[in-house]
Amino acid sequence: MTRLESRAHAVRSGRPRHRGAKAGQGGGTHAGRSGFRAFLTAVPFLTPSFFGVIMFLVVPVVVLFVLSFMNWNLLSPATLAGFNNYINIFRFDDASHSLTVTLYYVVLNIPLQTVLALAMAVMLNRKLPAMGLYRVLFVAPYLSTPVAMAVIWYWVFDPKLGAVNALLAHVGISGPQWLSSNALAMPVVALVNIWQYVGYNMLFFLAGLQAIPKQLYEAAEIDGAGPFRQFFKISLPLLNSTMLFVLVTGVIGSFQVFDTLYVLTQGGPGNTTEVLNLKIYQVAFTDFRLGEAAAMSVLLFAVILAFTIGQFLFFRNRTTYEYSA
Amino acid sequence: MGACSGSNKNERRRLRLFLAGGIAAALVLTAGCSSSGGGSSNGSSHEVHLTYALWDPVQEVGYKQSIALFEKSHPGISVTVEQIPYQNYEAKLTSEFVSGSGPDVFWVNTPFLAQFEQASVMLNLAPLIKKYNVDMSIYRPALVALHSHDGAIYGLPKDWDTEGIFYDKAYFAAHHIQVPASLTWNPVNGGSFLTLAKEATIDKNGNNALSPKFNPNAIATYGVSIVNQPDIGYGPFLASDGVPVFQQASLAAGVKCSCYPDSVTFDNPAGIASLQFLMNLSLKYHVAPPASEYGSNAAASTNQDVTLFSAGKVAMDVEGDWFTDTIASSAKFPFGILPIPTGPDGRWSFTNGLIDAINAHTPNQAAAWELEQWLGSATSESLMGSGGYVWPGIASADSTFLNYWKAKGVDVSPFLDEAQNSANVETLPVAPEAGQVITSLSQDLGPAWLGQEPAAAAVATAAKDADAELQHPSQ
Repeated sequence: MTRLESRAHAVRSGRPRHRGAKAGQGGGTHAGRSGFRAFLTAVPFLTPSFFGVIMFLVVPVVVLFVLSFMNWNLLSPATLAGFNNYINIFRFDDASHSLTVTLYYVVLNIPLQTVLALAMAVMLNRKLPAMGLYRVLFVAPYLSTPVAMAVIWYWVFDPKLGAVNALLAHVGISGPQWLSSNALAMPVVALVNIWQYVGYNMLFFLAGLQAIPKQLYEAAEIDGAGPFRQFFKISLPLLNSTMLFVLVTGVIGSFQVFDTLYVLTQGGPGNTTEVLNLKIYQVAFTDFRLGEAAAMSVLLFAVILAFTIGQFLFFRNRTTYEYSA
Repeated sequence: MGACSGSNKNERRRLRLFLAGGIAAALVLTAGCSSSGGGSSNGSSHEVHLTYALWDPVQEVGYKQSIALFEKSHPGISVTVEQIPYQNYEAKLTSEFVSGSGPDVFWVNTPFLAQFEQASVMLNLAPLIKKYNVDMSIYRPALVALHSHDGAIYGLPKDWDTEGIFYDKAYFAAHHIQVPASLTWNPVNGGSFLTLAKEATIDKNGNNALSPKFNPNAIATYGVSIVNQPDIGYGPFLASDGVPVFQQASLAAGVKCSCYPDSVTFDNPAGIASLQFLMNLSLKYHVAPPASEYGSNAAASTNQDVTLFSAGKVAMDVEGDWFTDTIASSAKFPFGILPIPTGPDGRWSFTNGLIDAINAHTPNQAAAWELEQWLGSATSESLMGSGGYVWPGIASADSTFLNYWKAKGVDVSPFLDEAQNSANVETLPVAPEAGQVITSLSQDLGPAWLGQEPAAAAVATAAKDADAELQHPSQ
């Protein structure tokens, strides 16, 4: 084994490189006590963060789970409801429809967004003049407030006064009623969302691409591989960890879409774009049925969890975190 | 790294621990202390502080003037006005009540009147009215009856409102369209209402919709705007065809209201025919803009109809009178008001009114009652009327609103004329599920407005869902 290979091997197996390094203040013989002391030192530093995590994450989640088994309209005391809410959300609140619509949105949104982000990252991964400017321009939509952008897009897609139909009219096409059309409303919403987040995802892919050592590409070129083979055989596999991150966060974000939809369609026309998050908001704050809204939130959580676990399992044996050069 | 002396390191570590612990404790304590909610009285000083919640930013201007006068005559009380946009108003107020920090006095609209009553967040003013001998006869009886239930009364009526048809005077004059004194309509041929709308719809070649050369694909200006809403849209028309939207109940003073309905009552052939006619204004007759202009369910949730009218894209707008001020400031043309057309069943209108309610758990009940009395007084209501903001809830003060707009060249008497026909009035629903029902109606009728399905199918779905909401016990 060469020294390089042994280093790579050591890194992959997670062992420290140098034996006999200082393991802590107390030295090797008092490892247990010094570990506990180290923990004690850490506790006061961690308390503020823990306080925040517990108060603003753990407690609300626990309350939500409990609430899903109760009836509450905010103003009267809560009463026990057992599993009724979980039945009612499918019987009265059309949760299955909302779930289907949400899945449709995720399917429209994620693949296209990921492919576009990757393509843009590949295109920007070179030394061209003003590359920094391009990167800023592509990320700019992500920096803008989703609600403000959605308001503008609403008017851009307005059938009579909007820019899209005006441009189409110049070419002689009578534009459809975008956000009022059953077939087109959801694709338009997905498009707006893709526009907003593709730059952000592109940054991750760009970082991932730039971490790939150039020697690999050079070696491949020597072996006669063209740019496409280089991309599919080198770039893509080595981007798996980035891809996992982008897909997991993207899918979670897509399932939770709310503000764009609230501004653009409010779930309309009819209920064709009524995603689960929007329905939860409506059931909670227009209908004041908080128990049912909590049950729907738990449903959404379960679905997102299932998808995330699935993604992790898929990528588990395909991800390389370190590689020797 | 050189050798470090153990005790030095220990001392430094202890110091670090102490500092970290101190910072952590300080952060936890300050994070735990939140500022107390509004509306709490300051026990030590003489001054009482009240919060007054409302949603209309236009009326807010008038109310701030009224409250300035109130504070002058009541030196120990100061009032903060909290303006919350209508879309969030009910939810925000509800969460404020839950956390115990709700406003002391607040506006209540009919759709959430029953919910607030059920939750006991409004103070029953009947004992106070009796104790202070408040003269309730000055208010419109219909408004008092609407806000009373089982002997309790929840507020002094502060205003009333109804609908009319705003029209572009300059446009009518420019195209030599005669402005009628009144209109008729019926679901079969549309009556003089449809004729006027056709006259006012003009295509890019200058032909109106009555002309055989009319090109519906190149319309320059539409004749009339109508939206998927029960009060400022289809409700008045359906009612005048003998089809109230909600089941009607009889109140005291011979007034009917949509109080605690069990069902909607427009799912019958007459209702379907009327709705289809209104939808056909856009779909068939091309006198109204495509329904998609008003948002995804044609419900104009951001008042797109007002925007289109003010921009001169539509010649007439079926609208609520509380938009008079908004239209006056955004439209660059003189406008007038036409009454809602008389239907086969006579003249009906959707009329509503708001009250100022007192928070049942306010710590400043005496001061809040003072504010309530002031806001319901002739002085305050006349001030609001003479600023052109709303029709006052006091019947005799109507002339203030009338005269303000007359001076501006707008004759608002058609609104008043409709209110005088108090026997033919439908109200917004009073029910704990009122908000949900209105939302579900808009969602279910939306596709028909957009022309995606016939009115009959949409009405069937809407009635089924609305009835289920009205009969499904709220949590």
